[in-house]
Amino acid sequence: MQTARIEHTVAQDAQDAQDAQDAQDAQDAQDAQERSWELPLQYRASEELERFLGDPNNPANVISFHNVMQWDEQEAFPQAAVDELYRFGMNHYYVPAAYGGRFTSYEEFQSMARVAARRDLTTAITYSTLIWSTLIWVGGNEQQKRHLAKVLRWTKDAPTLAYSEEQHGADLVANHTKAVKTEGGYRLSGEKWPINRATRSGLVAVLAKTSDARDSRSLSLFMLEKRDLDPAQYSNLPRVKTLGLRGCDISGIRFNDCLVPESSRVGEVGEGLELALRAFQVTRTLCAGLSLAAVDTALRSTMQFAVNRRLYNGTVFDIPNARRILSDAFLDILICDCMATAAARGLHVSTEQFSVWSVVVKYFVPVTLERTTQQLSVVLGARHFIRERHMSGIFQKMLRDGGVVSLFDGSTQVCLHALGLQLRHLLKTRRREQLTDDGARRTRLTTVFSLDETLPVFDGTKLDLFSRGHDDVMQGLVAAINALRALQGDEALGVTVLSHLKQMAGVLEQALRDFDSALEAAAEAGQHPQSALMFGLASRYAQLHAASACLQMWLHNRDALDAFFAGGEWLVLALDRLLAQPQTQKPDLPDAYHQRVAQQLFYLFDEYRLFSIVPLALAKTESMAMNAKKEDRHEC
Amino acid sequence: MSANAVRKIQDIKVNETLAKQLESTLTEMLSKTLRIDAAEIDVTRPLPHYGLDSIDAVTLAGDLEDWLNVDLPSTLLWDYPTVAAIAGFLEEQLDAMPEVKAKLEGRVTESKKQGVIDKDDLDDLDRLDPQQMDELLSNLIP
Repeated sequence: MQTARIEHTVAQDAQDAQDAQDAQDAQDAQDAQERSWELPLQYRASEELERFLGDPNNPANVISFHNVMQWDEQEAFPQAAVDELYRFGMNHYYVPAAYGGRFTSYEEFQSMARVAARRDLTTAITYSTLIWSTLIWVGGNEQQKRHLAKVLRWTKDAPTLAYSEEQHGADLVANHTKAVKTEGGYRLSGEKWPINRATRSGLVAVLAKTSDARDSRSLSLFMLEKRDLDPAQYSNLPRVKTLGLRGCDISGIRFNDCLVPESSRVGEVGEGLELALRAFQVTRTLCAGLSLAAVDTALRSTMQFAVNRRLYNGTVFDIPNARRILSDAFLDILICDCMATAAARGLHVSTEQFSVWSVVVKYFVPVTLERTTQQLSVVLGARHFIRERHMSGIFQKMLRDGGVVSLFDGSTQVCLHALGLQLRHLLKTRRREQLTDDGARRTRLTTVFSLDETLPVFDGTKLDLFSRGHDDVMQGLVAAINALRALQGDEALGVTVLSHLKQMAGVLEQALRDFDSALEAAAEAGQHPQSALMFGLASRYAQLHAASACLQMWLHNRDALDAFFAGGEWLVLALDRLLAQPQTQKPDLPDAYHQRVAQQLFYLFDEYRLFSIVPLALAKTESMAMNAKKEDRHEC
Repeated sequence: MSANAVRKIQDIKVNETLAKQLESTLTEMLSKTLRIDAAEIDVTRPLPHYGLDSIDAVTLAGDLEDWLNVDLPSTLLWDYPTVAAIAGFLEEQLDAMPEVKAKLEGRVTESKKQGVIDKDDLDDLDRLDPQQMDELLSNLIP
């Protein structure tokens, strides 16, 4: 730290000038924000949760970075944090309104989960096992639904998901855990490992073989309540040591000829795998919120350093390369936000297509944002490696914990494989239907993308294992490009930006054509579905889906969101970031666009707002905020 | 002589009941998906034995849908896990879909008309030497 001190002294002279510059930047950003916009209603609950949980920089709050880091160091289960979420009543948001809960939309739900998870992924991932209630909402009978609603709302019994086995991983059909029919129920035998919250949960969703065949109908699903079981007939396996999520109860459960009631079976005998895969379509989509939360804190932590750390004649944020890394990280967040928000809404609208949407999102968002966080660690430098001091060392925890998202619920490879298998059908349907103006699809897309449109009630019975070639986001791309071409510049949208957007639309069209012919060639050559080429094509498809989601999100919300969003500079850069390949012919984009993104980043950081297309207000402690900044300056 | 026999034998290939035709098309699709020789597929053996996993099976149901241009459950191959069972299910379903059935049957009937093998043709076959027989067989395999 010796060098840092010297630099600090040298920089002292320039400090006043720099402060003036900072103030000017903030003022500019403020001016740009002047156009008023209203927070969409479905984000109010998240702001409420923010206020309830309080500023995570303040150690006086239960879920503060200080406490979170202490629990992590001790590998302690974050019971106090979990209790805090119960105190807010988060559990009610896991129960559909029709069963007395407060769940209304996945968009609202995902945003709330993001607000909780930006404080601590260990807490969020522990709490999020309540989402396995989805299995009952999608496949349970009326009695099971009513009962689970009661359990979730009025007790702290949470479900855990006991699918995987040590020897079989994602190959569920190869599982060994058996359920043998007996009078009044089943006898369960086998071991599930590694399972998040296996020991501390009150309920267990178990997949077990109900037939000796090794086929897709050999599994059935059970939702067990531990209180109904004979404690001598099951036991828990020891906690597993993990890289991240060190406080999580990642353990296992062993059933020893354990009698379970007939009424615990969810769906018909043999329906287990189908139900599991359908519920995954919901949970995989929601995983995006966890990654977005982790990167929000990683970026905020890096900004806290970059804005305050003085060296040479300014701050780290003033160094063009560092500023670019930071603004690019913000772009990645905006891209993933568009994709994840569209998908969370899409669950209500294009439900039948989620065998595609869910794997696109589950692949793209975690992988992209993990890379983003790695990039940020370059700017944060030594501090990213230190488990204390700068914001209590939360960055490295988010880096470690965030890495789990691409692993669970269907890993990156599982998702790319599943997507690869459907690519042929997706291309055929898109080609067949792109020339027809499908009014129903247009209506669906408007509902998906316009944040002020009311979403229909989610209907899980529509989840299907195959999308029949449909993916509204991609099928709507040509129409979106045409809509963009018809736009005229206005007050909110400069003519230069618009012209660059139109040029980028051309790049996007070309990218789509290139993708289609590459896919056709691969199909003709009879490419193996698990070849590197098919995985590469699946990945490219996800990028194009992201580009299409960004464009449509922008087209539908230019009047609904803030001036930065409407201005479109970010969209030009986002499309460029998604589509650029070495051979791409594309316009030279002005540096001013990057500056605009950096300015917005600074504004959101300074104003305690979420890094998002919907920058909701975060909790802050006035005196704390000041102290944190001062402290950091002294630390440097 | 040999050309005539080839034509007749090709006709035998399509001169089948609707179920048989469904079976042979299914077998072809499977052999493509699984990358194994169609001749190796036993129509009564469960498909997971050939390495068809749950997700592949869903995709294949999609291929069938495309081929027949009808809606099918995406778990069709989970519930009817052999070629014969799928063909049986489809044949039953086709009763409710007269246009599709007529289209498929049209192909069957047409081939029946020209596909009757008589004794002369069989005699023709008897007279082939091994090399001619090889040629004939290799012509039959696309």
